[in-house]
Amino acid sequence: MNGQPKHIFRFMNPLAGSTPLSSPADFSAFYERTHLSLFRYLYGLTGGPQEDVEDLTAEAFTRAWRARRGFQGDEGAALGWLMKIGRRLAIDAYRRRNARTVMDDALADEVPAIGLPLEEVAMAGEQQQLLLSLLQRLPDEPREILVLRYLLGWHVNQIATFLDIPENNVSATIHRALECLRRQWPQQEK
Amino acid sequence: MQTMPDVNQLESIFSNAQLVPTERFYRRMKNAAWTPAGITRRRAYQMAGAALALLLAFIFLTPQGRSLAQSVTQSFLGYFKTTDQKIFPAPPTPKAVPTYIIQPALQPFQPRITPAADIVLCGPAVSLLTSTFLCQMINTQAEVGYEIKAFGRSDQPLQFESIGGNASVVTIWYVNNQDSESYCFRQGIGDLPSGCFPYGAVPADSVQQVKVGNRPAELVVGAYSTGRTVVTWSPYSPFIELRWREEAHWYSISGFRFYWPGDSGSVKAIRAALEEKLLGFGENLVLLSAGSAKMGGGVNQTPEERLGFHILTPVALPQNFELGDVSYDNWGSKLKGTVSVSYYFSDKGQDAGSINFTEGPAADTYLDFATYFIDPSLWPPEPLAIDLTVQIGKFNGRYMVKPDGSTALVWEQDGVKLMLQPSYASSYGGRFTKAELIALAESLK
Repeated sequence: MNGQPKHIFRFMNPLAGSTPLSSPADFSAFYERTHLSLFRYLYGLTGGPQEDVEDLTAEAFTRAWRARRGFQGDEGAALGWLMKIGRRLAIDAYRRRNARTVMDDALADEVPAIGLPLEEVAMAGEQQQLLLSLLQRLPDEPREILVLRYLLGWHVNQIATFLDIPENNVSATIHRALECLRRQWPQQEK
Repeated sequence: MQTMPDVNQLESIFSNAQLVPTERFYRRMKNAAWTPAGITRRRAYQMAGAALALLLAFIFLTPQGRSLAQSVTQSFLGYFKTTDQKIFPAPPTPKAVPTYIIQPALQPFQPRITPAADIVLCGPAVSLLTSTFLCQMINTQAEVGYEIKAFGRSDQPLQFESIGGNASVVTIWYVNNQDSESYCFRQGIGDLPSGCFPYGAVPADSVQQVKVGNRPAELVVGAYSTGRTVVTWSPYSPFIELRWREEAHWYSISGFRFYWPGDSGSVKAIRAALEEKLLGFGENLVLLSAGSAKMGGGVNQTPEERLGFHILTPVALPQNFELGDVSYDNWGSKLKGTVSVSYYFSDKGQDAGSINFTEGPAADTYLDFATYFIDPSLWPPEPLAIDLTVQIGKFNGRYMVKPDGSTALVWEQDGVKLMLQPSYASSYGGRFTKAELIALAESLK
């Protein structure tokens, strides 16, 4: 898979087509079809909060709109391009708030649902929050791979093409990352 | 004990996660840039931006602009020249000037180093590239012959940018990257010259009477906007200038903010905050003799201490080029932690262009000069006309040419990411070839 051109991604993506993004109507349709994917991707990468992820999502679309004339490819390739814009924005936002994030991370070690009563943790919504919180403790690549696999529902070969890594690496990373999350899952006396 | 979920359960929790934006997000996106409302708004901003750019070009580059801005009819305290007119005829398009030929043969280059003031801590010489910012200020003070002031320490995230001056005016630039603001602080003895944004005469009703401490001062918000046929005063432009006097000295602080559609806060609130900052700076000035501990802007650092890497400089340049300017965090603060060193070229007293080296730490994996040259996010990018891999000494580089003819060389060496960009006066005929740019790049040490 390494060395394979990235544009192959568009042949594997369910959104693949030949719609350009240049007109407002086309871009609007593209937004309608992809905004949930981008939102979930950024939520998974950053761990929230919700408002910040919404801001990042909106900004990524705005940047994509401004840069649309330089984009070449179909709508499937456009989603990958859009996600890379979003990822860069997330990184920039992280760097801007680095000091605050460090503090938040320190707090996160105390606050996350790890200390919650078991009854609450058992609730589905809180399990999701806990999982997303644990997700943030993973290194960047495994975190991104899990987000693409489970929050966006991508197949291993799509992830491999998007990240330009071998498919077996993706599978192995998913396995190891899930195991890591499982081990970090809090245990508590009933 | 609660048993750990197995992998299948984790996958299930993941897959069932209901992550959706709130109503707030959807309300915001209803007015996004590609919607009819967004397109209308963006066009308005683009027109205003273009008008502002034309105004600045007009004011800075044309004698007609300067003379137009200097038409004076009345004044209050007299710190600003005022006029009752808010609309003027646009000046004629300047005539093209003759072109010149660059002499590209590289000559050994030694940066010109200003003799230092008699200050032990600054060493025997002061340079824009190696001396602390405080030493650069002390040196300027010695050259102009009177005591100068600087911004005092405050809670504002200030960064010193540059100082320059002569006997009549000293100019210090600061930036606030957090708020995308630039501040120009001018001071001198005698008559007030034009400010950093030299609009000369301003509409009389744009002048507000304020106080800096207990001293009467004047403040103007706005700037001229140049259209095709007329020049119009725009009170909504994000320019503010404050002027006042203290005994024989005059002071002027100008503030300018980059703001864009989508910035949080109203234009009015942003301007009010900027106004308050300028007044705060004015009330918190300190003499250089007060020492660096009382000054804002990180003046105790050298450029390399500020940046954290060694600035590479050319050992050879074409004839008649001189070190002219060192600036930081360019591109509207988008390249934080970088420096741009410009070498200017003038021919028969005419500004003809410059060679600009922008440098950043190689360790910054997110810094990508090629991307910023192409500029995919701030403006609809165009495909490059030329994009070649080239050899710069023993390093691989990238030579890029945009459809408008602007060129850049991007490479990495000795722990530094670099971009070389020539810039030419619009009427200047000389151009560097690819081979000449590579030769320039190879002279960096």
